[in-house]
Amino acid sequence: MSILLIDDSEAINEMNAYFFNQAIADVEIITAKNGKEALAILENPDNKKLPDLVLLDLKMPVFDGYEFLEYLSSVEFAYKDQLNVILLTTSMNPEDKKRISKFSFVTNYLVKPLSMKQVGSLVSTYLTTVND
Amino acid sequence: MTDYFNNERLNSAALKKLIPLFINEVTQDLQHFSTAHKKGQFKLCLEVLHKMKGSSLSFGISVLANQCIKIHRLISDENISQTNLEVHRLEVIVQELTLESTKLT
Repeated sequence: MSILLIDDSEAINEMNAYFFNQAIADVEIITAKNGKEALAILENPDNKKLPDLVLLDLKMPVFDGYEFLEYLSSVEFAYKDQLNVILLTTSMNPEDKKRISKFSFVTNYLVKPLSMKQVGSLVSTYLTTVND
Repeated sequence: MTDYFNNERLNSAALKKLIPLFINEVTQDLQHFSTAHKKGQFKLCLEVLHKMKGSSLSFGISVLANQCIKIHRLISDENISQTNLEVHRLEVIVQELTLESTKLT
């Protein structure tokens, strides 16, 4: 199982990685600090499968969350239909929520900070084995 | 001094690993913000404040998140003259956090 964490804050990525490592065993955590880095990971032809879960921030430099989602929508690649993207943002703007609703692979919208309860829920919904 | 890093979501080993990372990042963000503020690059200021708000919320440091929100609002409302004092407060908060973080190691 693997999770891709996309946030321009390395501290947030590391903290969320810690939460997932606490909640589930044997999970591979991959981090990216913007949408461009994340796309390079997803489009890597050596990938045998996509991450089981992607946590995406919206506001980032270089290539933000919207640009990332627009790009993903416009291209075809292997296993795209299995992609689960969760928005993790500080924005509580209903316009942001509305704007991302057109992306079928965005399955949830969470507001920072991520709680352990939310991590548990994500693990049980998208990842199979849960530590007791 | 408030116990800034009393975060029930993190055990002591995680605190010792993650807090220095957070402090290092927020210090760099503050330098980035201060430079942009002095140059009048307010769009960049808002972007940096947004990042600082997100990371401080994630680490449960509401005093820093609230100060970022306050300055973000002042700049968004173009009350630029009022930002200087609040930016100074932001710098003091980051200094206090840095000092507090040294007690963890």
